[in-house]
Amino acid sequence: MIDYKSMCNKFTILLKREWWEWKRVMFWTVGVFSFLLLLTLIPMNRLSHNIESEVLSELDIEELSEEKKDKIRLSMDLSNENYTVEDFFELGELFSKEKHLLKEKLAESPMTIIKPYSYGILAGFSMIQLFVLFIGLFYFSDSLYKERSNDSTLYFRSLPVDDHWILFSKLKAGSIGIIGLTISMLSIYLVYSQLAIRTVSGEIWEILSGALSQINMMDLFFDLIIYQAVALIWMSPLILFLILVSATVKNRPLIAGIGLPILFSITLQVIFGENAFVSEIVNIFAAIPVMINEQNLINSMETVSLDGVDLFGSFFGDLFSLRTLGSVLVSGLFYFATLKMYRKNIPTN
Amino acid sequence: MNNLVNLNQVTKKYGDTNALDQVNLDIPSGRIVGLIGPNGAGKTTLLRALTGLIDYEGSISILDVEPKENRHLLMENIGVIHDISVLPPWMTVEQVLEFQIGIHSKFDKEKCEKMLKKTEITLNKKVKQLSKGMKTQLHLSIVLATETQLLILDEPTHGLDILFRKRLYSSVLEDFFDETKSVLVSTHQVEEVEHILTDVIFINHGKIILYERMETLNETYVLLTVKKEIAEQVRTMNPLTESAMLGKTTFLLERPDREKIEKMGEISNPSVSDIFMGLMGGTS
Repeated sequence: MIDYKSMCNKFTILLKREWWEWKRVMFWTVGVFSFLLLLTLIPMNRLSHNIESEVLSELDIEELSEEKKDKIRLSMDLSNENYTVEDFFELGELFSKEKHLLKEKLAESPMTIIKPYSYGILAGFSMIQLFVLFIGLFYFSDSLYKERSNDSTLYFRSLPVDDHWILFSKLKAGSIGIIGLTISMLSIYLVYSQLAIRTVSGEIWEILSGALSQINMMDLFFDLIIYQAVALIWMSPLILFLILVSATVKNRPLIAGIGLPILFSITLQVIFGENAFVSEIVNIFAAIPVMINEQNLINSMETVSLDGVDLFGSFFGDLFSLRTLGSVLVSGLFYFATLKMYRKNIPTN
Repeated sequence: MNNLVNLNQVTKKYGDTNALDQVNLDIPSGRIVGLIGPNGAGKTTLLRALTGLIDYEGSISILDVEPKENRHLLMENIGVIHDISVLPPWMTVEQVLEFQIGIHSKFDKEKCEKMLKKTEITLNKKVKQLSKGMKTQLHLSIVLATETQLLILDEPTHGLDILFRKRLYSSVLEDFFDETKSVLVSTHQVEEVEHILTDVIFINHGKIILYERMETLNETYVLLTVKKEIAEQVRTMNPLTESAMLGKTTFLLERPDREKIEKMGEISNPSVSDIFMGLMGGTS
């Protein structure tokens, strides 16, 4: 009789083991990501002031009377003792007029402001994808190699655990890790986006917050997570290939894991004149502008060509597609090759 | 008596070299078997085949389980210690114990912690922070605290000091061994295990050269020490080894005529290492 409780316990502890081993990498990744985001607050604040002073310099100062102009000049020196109460009122009026003019000017071309911030949002989402991609490549190419290189594979294989379970735990832990990392970084990014908008100067903030309030950040958040799950299935041949490399090579699994697909794609390019592998990767990254575009935010952005990018239809439509079937079949082949190599190759030395 | 281990015509090739050459072996319960051979004799290959780590030709059955395809079932009932440190270096001792309890239903954490209390190993330390001896000690405690029927030790004292070696074998005797269980220990340091062995296997070039019970060894092999004048006469009996000291020569003889040699000189029991040297073709 199958003891499901014992099986569950074993699988849970295998996942826990992955967590113990990789938690530091996860925390560091989230830490570095947060730090980089915080660093961007400084140029963001500068940028907003630059835009504002640029627009101010373009203001038609002739609209103001000569007398008022003098008062503006006087306002540059607040230590002037000749001020009267009336002067202060006059100055207040002038500032208010100036503010109004600035607002009008900014409102004439809101894209001057919205565009850089839209690119900022795109960069943020792309950065999350890049971080996740890098950690994913690193994890899957190292997962079996690490235990082979430090001989602990002999310990794990002296325990009553099926090899399938060990491989499944690596796959599952990696997938959970990728989704978990995405959720963590997205959550931080949501908080950051609110914080970032508060660092910009007042007039720009009004325009930006108006534009940004049209974006449903939570929609973007869930879009990216669900997309990540589907992309994981589509990327599964690469993931399984990396694990196969991890179970096979004697050193540098990451270089072999990335280098061989690149060589493969160059070969495809030379023979067939097209490059399916690179297009897949580009498509995955192109999905982010598609998602942001869906929020009507970056209509005028001259980003990558979105023609032919049809990545994010419906979740179930994407899940039950020919593409998914193809990915699962190729992954299956890599899985059995991995199992064979895992059983054959004991430690690396 | 049931055989815990049964090997039938087991062969393992690496290229043109036979690491194991048609090995046949039966190990019943209640035995401590020493697998002895020089470096590269095939000891580790044999143990890896037994634990399902490598492919082989022929058939192996351990506790009625075939190890190649059913390693995970086999590991429910056997414990293994390798010649190198294999515990994950990044884990803390506490994590190793937690992992073991989650994976092995027969692991007794309390028993293990009791054993560890007698050592300098603390639960919060990472495995990589432990000395080589401590790592072996930790692994041994884990294995001995797991209820199994067969213990496989592959040169467990490799690189350890004499104190720890003695302690290791006495732990195996005290905390593990009884008449229902068996221990298979491989080593090339014969003298450190011979006092605990019930059986001995000599292996060389992938072949079993000798498999005998310790008590019959002394019936089969005899050390004969004679004066120089009689040495030439003994040489006609094809001794396995010969060594000269203080004007006397000592010969190792296989199945000699006891009555005849008793008159020639002094008879004594050879040590396992004497027999090992004799059978492996060495002289001292």
